[in-house]
Amino acid sequence: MFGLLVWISYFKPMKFITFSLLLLLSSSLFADIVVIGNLQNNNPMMSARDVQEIYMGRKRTLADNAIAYPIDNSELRKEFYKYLTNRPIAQINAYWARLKFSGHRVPPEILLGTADIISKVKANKNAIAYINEQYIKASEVRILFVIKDSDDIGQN
Amino acid sequence: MTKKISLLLIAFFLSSTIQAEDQYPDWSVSGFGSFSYVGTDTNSLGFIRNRTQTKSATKSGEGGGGVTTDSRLGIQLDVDFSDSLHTTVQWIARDHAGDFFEQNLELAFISWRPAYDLDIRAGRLALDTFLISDHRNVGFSYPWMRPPHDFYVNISAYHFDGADIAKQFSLASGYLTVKAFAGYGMNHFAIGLGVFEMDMPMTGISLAYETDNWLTKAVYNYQHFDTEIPNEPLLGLINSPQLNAVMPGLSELASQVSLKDTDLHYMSLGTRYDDAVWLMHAEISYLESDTSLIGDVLSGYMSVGRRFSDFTLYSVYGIAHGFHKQVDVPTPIVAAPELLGGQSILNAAINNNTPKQQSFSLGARWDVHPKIALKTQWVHYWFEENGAAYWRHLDNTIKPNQVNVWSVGVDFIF
Repeated sequence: MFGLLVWISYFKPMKFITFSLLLLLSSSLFADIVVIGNLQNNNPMMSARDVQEIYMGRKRTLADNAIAYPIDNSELRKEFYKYLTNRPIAQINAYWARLKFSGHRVPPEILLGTADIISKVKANKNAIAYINEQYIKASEVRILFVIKDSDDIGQN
Repeated sequence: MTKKISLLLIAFFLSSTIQAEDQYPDWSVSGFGSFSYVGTDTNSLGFIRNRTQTKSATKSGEGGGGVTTDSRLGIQLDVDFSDSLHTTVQWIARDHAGDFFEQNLELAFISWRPAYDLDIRAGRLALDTFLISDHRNVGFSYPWMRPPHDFYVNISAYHFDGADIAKQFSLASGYLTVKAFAGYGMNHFAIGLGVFEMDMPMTGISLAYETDNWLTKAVYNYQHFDTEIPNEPLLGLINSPQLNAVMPGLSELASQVSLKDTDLHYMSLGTRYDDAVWLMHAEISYLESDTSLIGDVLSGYMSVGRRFSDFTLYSVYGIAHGFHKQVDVPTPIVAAPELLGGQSILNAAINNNTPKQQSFSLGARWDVHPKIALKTQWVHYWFEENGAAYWRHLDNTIKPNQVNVWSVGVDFIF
């Protein structure tokens, strides 16, 4: 990627600025993703498997047996499921189409916008969601699991 | 003091109401659809996806193809009233015999979850007989154009009105779901004798074990036929005194053209493997029936697919083999053409219901968008003599023993 930027900047200074901005934006997209919960959620930290099973609908509860309310983040959905299941979104959608349209399970609600997601998690004790780490405020939500940028997010 | 407590209670209820209103009722509308063209190279056998369909892809004497066989559009409303109370209503526009609104109402149930691992549903439910039977309308959820024909065309109905109860157990690295269901099916079918409603009390039990990549399911389903097929023309022939005079023993065949008060038993075992790259499905079932109009059938299929990024290539082998014993229709003692014609009609009605077919498919799915997939599939069928029981017989010509079916289409969700 860096080589490409140097090559472009050699010929097109303006495009270099544009691509640099794009690079900055993309780096923010691929920052650590954190799975968050309500401040009243006193359960222990979650494992990757806990998160995966709740988001794939196989497990319905948090550690305290309360019904989990998972929320999808439309901006990070692709990277999140790639990390959890190594599947692209089309496969995740096909998986949920089977469960939803047979009337068995309903997929996580998909929300757009970190502010709305945090607001929903604050309002529901059993909600879990995932956002970029940079938007975390310890006074609003608690962290339940961290997906490091180095954890092959968005790879393959 | 009392006032303060009252105010606190009112404030508490108001706040809980507002909070409840904020989250519940929580509703969503979504849907799925498929638009496909299917063509065949026969003029005498009509290709159908399910026995409930009124039109086959092939038209008598014209061959060609059609769009109604694999095309449909479904819309679904989901409403959560609380953490434990939910309702789902699903309606599908598709080619289905009988009332267009009522027969296409696929799901309309209320589900209650008294415990996190227990589900109770009541209302109209999808028939859960095989691995894919309760979502066979949702083309986006599987790789093929349609669930394997040798296996799925024979399921008698899409839905039933009743209840089911499912209990989930955490077991080793997966989850075991035990489900029992019971109800009453009122489904409309189209057969050569016409469209009719078949009322069927039914019950069953299923065991499903699911892990990350595997889903294995075993099902037993019992159905009883409470009503009769429109067999008056056949009974008219069988009970005709004139015909019985020249075809001795003919009246003894009356029970062979009747479904009423007979039973069906489906037993199936299926498994699905999907590791995001390789995709495998395999199912086997035995259908036991005490009527010649259906007969005992052993069927199965195996499908293997390989994904290359957004592109999936797959192949399927399927087989359906009936064990119906030939029933001898008496030969007329006078070889008049009308009598021989009557014998031929009865012979076809009684003895041509046994599938003896195999198929091999090659196909591809291309996920051009996270919610849209383009598909194509070619299927080659082989039939033994009188083995095309899962096809509409469009004329009285000798039927081919091999047929090709090809299809192209798009599946989507929204």
